This record gives sequence, C-alpha cells and structure tokens, in this order.
Amino acid sequence: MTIGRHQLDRRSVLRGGVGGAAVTLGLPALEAMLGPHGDALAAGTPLPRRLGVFFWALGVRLKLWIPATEGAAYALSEELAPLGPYKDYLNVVTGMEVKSLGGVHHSGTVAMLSGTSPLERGGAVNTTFRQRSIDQVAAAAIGSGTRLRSLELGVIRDGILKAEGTTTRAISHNGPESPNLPEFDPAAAFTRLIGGEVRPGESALPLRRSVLDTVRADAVALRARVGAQDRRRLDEHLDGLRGIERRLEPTPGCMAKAPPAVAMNAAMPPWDDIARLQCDLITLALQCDLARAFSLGMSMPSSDPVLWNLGETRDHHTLSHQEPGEQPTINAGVLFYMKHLAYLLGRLKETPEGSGNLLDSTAVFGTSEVAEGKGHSTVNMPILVAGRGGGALRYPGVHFKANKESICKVHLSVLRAVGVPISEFGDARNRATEGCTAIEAA
Amino acid sequence: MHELNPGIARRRPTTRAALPRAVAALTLATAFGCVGSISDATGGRGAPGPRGAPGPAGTGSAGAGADPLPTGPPATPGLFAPGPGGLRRLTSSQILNELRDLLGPTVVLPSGLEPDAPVQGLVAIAGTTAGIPERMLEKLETAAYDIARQVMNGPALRQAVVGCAPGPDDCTRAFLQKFGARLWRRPLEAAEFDRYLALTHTATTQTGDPARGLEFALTALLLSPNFLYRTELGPPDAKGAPRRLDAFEWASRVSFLLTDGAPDAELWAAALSGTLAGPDQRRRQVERVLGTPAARRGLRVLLTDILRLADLDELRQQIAVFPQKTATLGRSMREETLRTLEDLVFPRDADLRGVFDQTFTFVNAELAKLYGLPAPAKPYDRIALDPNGPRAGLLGQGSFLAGRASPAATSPTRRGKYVREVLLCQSIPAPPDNADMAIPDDLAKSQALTTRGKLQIHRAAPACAACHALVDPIGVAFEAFNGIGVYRTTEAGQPIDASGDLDGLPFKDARGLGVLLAAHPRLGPCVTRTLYRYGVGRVEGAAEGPFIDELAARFSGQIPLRGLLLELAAADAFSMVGAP
Repeated sequence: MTIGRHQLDRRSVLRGGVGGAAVTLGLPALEAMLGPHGDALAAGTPLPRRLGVFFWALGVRLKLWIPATEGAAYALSEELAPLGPYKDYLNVVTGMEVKSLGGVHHSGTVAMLSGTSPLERGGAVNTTFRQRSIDQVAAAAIGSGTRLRSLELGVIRDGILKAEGTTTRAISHNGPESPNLPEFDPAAAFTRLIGGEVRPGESALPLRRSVLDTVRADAVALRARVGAQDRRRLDEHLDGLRGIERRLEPTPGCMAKAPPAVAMNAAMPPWDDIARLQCDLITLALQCDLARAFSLGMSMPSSDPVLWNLGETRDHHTLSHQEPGEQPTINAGVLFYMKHLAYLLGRLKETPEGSGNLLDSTAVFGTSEVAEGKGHSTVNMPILVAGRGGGALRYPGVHFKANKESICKVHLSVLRAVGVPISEFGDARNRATEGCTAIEAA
Repeated sequence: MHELNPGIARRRPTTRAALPRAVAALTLATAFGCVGSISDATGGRGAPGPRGAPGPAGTGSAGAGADPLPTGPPATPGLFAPGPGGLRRLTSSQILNELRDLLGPTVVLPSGLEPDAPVQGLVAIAGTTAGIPERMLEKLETAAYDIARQVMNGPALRQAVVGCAPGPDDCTRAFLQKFGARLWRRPLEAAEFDRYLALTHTATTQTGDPARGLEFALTALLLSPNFLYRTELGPPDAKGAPRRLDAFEWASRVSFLLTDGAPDAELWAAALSGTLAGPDQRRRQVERVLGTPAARRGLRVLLTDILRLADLDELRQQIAVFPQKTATLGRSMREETLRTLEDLVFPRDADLRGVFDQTFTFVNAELAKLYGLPAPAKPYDRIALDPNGPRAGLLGQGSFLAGRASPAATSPTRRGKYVREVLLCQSIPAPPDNADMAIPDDLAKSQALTTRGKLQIHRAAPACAACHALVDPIGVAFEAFNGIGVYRTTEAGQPIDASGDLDGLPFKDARGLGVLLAAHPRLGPCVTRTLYRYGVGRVEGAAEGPFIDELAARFSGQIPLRGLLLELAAADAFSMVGAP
C-alpha cells in the first residue's frame, strides 16, 4: 500500500516532550485512508491492532497496590491512582500464579513475559529466555507489514546488569541468546523509526538491496554446512537482513520532527523527560503504523539505578530490600512508573483513529519482575491490562481477583485480543488453553 | 571414537588424589529446596541438573562425588574425543581487532557495538551459542558502509587494501583473492567470486565509479556471515567424526585464542602455503604468535573474560556511600589486575599461584590514593606493598574487592561466591524461589551489627544457611576492605574479624586465605579447564576430560599461563572437532 505524503496541519500537531517543545508530530497518516465509517481502512481491511508491554523493575507494594474491591465498580488503590483518568480502559488482575524455576528477578521476568522458566546459562542468575516474549509472539502475527516488526524502548539505563545473561539486558527476546536490546536514546529511536540514517548507499537504494542479496546468498550457502543450532543462528542473520531491507525506503506519509537531544547529566539523568519522549515515539509509531508491537522498559530486571528524582541517594534495588517500615521511597517509585504509564495511555487515548482512538485498538500488558521488592517473591505479581484491544478486552475495565490461576491466561487474552491465532500459551507448568475471561469483552 | 593421542591416553592425572576430604564435609543438610552442596560449575562432563544442581553424573549429596574436578573417572578411561564442530561468532572485540589489524590505525571503527553477554561464565562461549539479533545487524550494516567508504576514499588506504586500479575484473578478483580472503580468513570459493564480481559490476554500472563498485563489495564482505562467523567444521567433504580442522580454521582458532584477532600475515601465509600440516609446524607457529605483541592483547581479553572483569567499565558503588568513586576508578582497577597478570606472564611466565600473596602491585594515582599508597612516578608503575600489611595479592585488588561487592556495602557472599566459582570452578545454587529476602527492619536499621554479624543472623534461617555456609566463611576474609576496597579496622564500632575457613582449613585474614588458595588442589585444574572452555568456546563434554586432565597435570602443580596456552594451542586435540 502507498500512503501519500501529507502536509503538516495544525490540527494534527501533537504536543509532547520536554518543556512542550519536543516531539512535534504531524500525523494524519492513516486517517486519509479510512473508509466512510472510520473503523476500517478504505480497502476494507480492519484497523490495525497493537500489543505493548510496559515493564518496570522491583514490583509494587502489594498492600498499596491491590484494589480493595472487585469487579467493574472497583476503587483504584493508592498506587494505581495515577491511572485514574483511564480507569475505564484499565483491567487490574491480582491473585494470578506464576510457576518458574530460576534465580530471583530471572524467574519472574521470564515467566511474566514469556510463560516459561528461564534457560540457565551458568547458574540460576545467568539466564536467557527459552521462548519469544509476548511482544514477539504478537510481532510474528501482526508485525510483518510494518517498517519495524517491533519497537523496543527503554528509559532508565543506569545499573543494568551485564553479567547475568540476556535476561537482565532486555525484556524483549526472540528466543535464547537473542535479546532485542531497548533503545534508551529517544533521538536514536526516532531515527530508526523515521529513517534519515545517512549511508553512502542512500542515493542508490537498489544497491543496498543488492548488498543484502549478496550477503543473503552467503548465509544460505553456509547454512547448508552446519548443524541445527547454527542453522537457527543463520536464520536469525537472514531475518535481520529482511528487517534492514524493509527499512530501506523512508517512511511514507508520516512527518515528524525529531525529538531534541536529551542532555544527559550522569548524576541526575532526566528520567522523566526520557520517559515522556519514549511514550511520544510509541504514539508516533502506532499512529503512522510503523510498528504494531512494542515494549517499554521503564527499568530493566534486577537493575540498581539511583532514582535521584525520588530523592534517593542509595540505589533503588538495595532500598527495596532495606527501606524500613512502610517503604515510602519504594512506594514513590511505583507511583513514578504509574505516572508514566498514565502518560502513555493518555497519549494513545488523545490520538484519534477512525471513530475512536489508538487506545481502543491497543492492548498494553503491564507487569514487573517480582511482586514486591522487599521480599523479592513472585507470589501475586502485579498485572495490568490497559486498552480495549480492538474491542476484545473488557470495557469499562474491572479488578479481577483470581484464585491462583495461571498467568498465561492473561497472556492468552491479550494475544488473542490483538489477533494472534493461538490456542495455548506457556510451558507445562503454566500452560493455559483458555483466556482470562473476566477481562475479555462479553 | 578412536584414540587420537596415545600419549594422552596413557598418562594418568596426577592431581586427582589431592582433594581434601574436607570438601565432602561441605555438603549440608538440604533445606527448603536450596541444594546445599557445591557442584562442578555450570555442567560439563554430564548435563547439569536444574538450578545448577548436580547433574546425572554427580547426583547425590556427597560433595566430593558431585565434584568431577580434577575429574572423576572418565566414561571411557583415557579416551579423548573432541566436542562438536560448528560456527564461532566473532565477539564485538574480535570484530574490532581484526579490522584494526587489517586496516591500520587510521580507520575509525564503530563504537556502538554492544558487549557480548557471557554464557556459562564466558563471552567466549556466547560466541558459539548467540547469533546476531536484528538490532545488532543494523548497527553492523551502518558500520560496514562507513568502513568501506573510508577505505575507498583514502587513496593510501585504498591502495593498500585493493592494490590495483579499480575497474577491470582482474583487479576485482585480486582484491577478493587477497583482501576478501584475509577478511574472511579463508580463500573464497568459485561461487563466491562470481557473486561478489556480479555485485561489483552492478554497483560500478549504477554509480559510474569503479571504486564505489568495490565499496559496495567490501560492505557486503563485512556484513557476510563468512566474516562475522568463523567455521570449525573441518574440510567441506568431511564425514563422520572426529575430523581435523582445515589449515585456515586451525589458524583462526589458535589466533583468536592467543590474540583475540585473526591470523597475522605470517600465520596466514603458512596456512596458504600448506605448511601447517605437521604438529611441529603448528607448534612453531603457536610459539611464534605467543611472542608477538598481539599475544599481550589476547591475554588481556582472555583474562577479562575468565576473571569477569568486563563489568568494571562502570562501578556500581554509590557515590553517596563511597565518595572515592570516580568515572574511571573501575577501569583503573581492571588495569591494575591486567598489568599484574601481564607482568606475571610476559616475559616471566611465572607460576600463577604466586599472585595470591605477592606484595607488589601496579597502580595509578587514584588507586594509590584508595589503597593509601604513595602515588607512582608513572601510572601503573610497579609499586611495593607493605610486606606485613593487610593488602596483598590478586584478591587484595579493587577489581575483586569492589567488583564483587554490593552497591552500598561489602558482600562476603558475592566475594566468597567468586572464589568458589571462578578460582575453584564450583557452582553455588541460587536462592530458592521461596527464599524470603526481606531484611527485617531491625536488622536493616541496625547500626550496631557488623556485616559479618548480620550474615550470621541470616544464616540462622535454614533455607538460607545451606548455601550461605558455602560462601560466606570465605568471603568474610575480605571484611577488612570496605565495599570499594578501602582498608578498615572497624565496622559498626567493632574490630573487624576476618577469620574464616576454606574447606575446613582455617585462616585469620585475607592474606591467610590467599596462601590457602595458592595451594588449593583445585586451582590449577580449574584454570586449565577454564582456558580450555575459552579456547573451544564450549563447556567440555565427558570425552574431552582426559585431555584437560593431562594438560593440568603437565606442569606438576605449577600454573604457568603462557605454558598452558602453548600446550593447549599446539595440542593435537585442539586441532580436532566432532561432527557438527
């Protein structure tokens, strides 16, 4: 399909970013192609559905997180309060069970994002994923036609563990040893989304294609000589070549101004600014249909950044174990994460598409690596499902209090909502064959 | 399987009997799922069980029985069979080294390549398991265009790389035959010539510039799996197993082991001329390469990997707790350790056991200040430590003391675990899923308790005790050094007690532990095994044990790193692989 290049018009300029001067997005993109009823593209194709993962480290404070009441009339808890404006779009799930073997942080991260235990790569705290993470499961089904098969962004880049395998480096994985490392720099992420990388071949796109074809032939020839594991590695090489190829053409129909360079102050990194910019970029990517699967890691599993913006002088991770009493700083951390989830949901909701908005067509799965930082347990993990998932998810949202059902039921609901045709999810310990019906549209 | 080297088969390991019985006593009552026994680190010689528990080869709770290092009896005594062949992906550092060696110092190389994640403790093993995710390939594509442009735009560099006037097929062929083959570390095959000639033609026609034609060809050569991976498969027509690496594969295997880069000109010429066929010829090349400056680079990369020094790029210590922390301090600490070991290996090749209690080190100004030493005349000059002082040897260095600590405190647990895992090749199970890691409020707040005291309370919980008892009594040796490596005599108003025990042998402080470690019967076999894993990029299988044992035994208890590398690289066993 071809989308014509549009003029930037005032109506479609959206606000965002640092001090109001940041990412200016002029994005009528799909609008011009919508059919008369505004709920499908002119050609009769339904509006795209999107899946996102919103992840933060070190869990929540369960007693301040779990809503006191259940069902549609539930009242938001203290830690969920920032999501108030989007409560209709929010399903809160508590009481689910995750069965995962592995070191703390690792077991929770991998199971919450892929439904299995981690794959050990040298002890229980050096691991990688066994399977694709849910964003990649979705990308395989809904991401093949977009410029990026999936978009991986991160916010807090400090304190990432580099010696514990790939699990602590990336929340999105294609499988073992194949992390999709998040881009922490909004400007670099923007370039990748929109294009504009200057390469010698830019003036001669067919030649870049010829280079890729030549390399592809090398990979295919080598593939014939090796064993099964190495064949998978060369398949990954081939996938990568295809990914580059689909980004050869500049993005059509989507005009946007690059985000400002974020001044990094090592002692006081502007986490808030970066988080907002990354949420703006996700909005841009969805609005221009550049990606349909995304993940945003506010902080990476097991990382130990100092959240100076909360007044911390010691790292958040150590503090989660040691802060005495009611753990006010840890509570503030959860509120900080939820504030940015609210910002993301707000951006999606205020961005019209068809007769609705982007949040209508999106399912955001929000979770963490442990239930509570203090004990690092994986009992009663925080789970949020935001957005209507194209109408498949319950609206207005509910608080569903489960009695130890498999987390994979939620995975299944979310994946099916965005159109992934699967009948089961998770490994033998967690396998679900039916969704979490309480959060599905009746 | 057949016997490759009768010499290996006949010789019996000599160190096996030396394991102290105390090891067996380490096995504690299992509680709440934490297997309270050390096991042979990360598998090898039999599949590891879940959660690092002993695998089928070492099932049961007897510590020594779960502990095939130096080795339990091999499945078939004395028979060596190599592990499977396959592809080795170049690490980020190897990509950069090869390009720098081939293109010289004027070329600006990519800076944004993500360092590789270690697998089973080694980046070298990641090279046989990890592929190249799309995001990394994108970065490599950008880098490939950038490098190719620099090469073709610089007249001198272009002349050096291409060697003829671009345009005629003969020149393209010569470029592919010389530079292309060097880059891929093997001659191109006929079909590959055709493919790259065709690409050069297309690009020349479309751009109207023969040099740009070669630029696109070079870009493709750089992005090809034939550059980014190297094969260890034996000849293309090889059938069955074991099979001998071809000359080019062998040259690469040895060169990347010893220099972290591709074969140098002389090794390359030897591979081309077919003079690597005999064991003596191969041994001479190994000896020669070990004498080149590149071998020093290779040693630094090797040590960084096996001693887990990569994460010192960024110290995790918190500045509010440790005002001594600077942006460069972690790198300075790594440099100290690398200089120490470099000094040991080149030119002396002294016994590694000596570094555990030696009383000199190599510091720059900021480290000297941290250690309370006078500043050296030049950065990393050798400087004497107080022969009777608390700080001595490798484990008195910041790379260990700060590198294995918590962000805000010491960690006897992490320090002890490092000693077990890295120096003795024993793995420690992670905390069980149901471990309650919450620090009770009164304990967290306590200003009256030492770290040692807090850990003792922690060990009162049976679920925690089993595993902590394996590591904490070692780690407390270093309590006289705070979380960033500064010497201290008190904590929480109490004098430091750094006494503990290693496998039942008592020590009174870190120096005493150093002496015990130097004499520990597992140290030499552990170092040897780690070098082997680094060299082959895999955890060894049972049938590779006899060779490792023989290698470890060859120096009668001494541990000369360069000698071990020479014997490993020159060994017949190192030139063989199994079927992929």
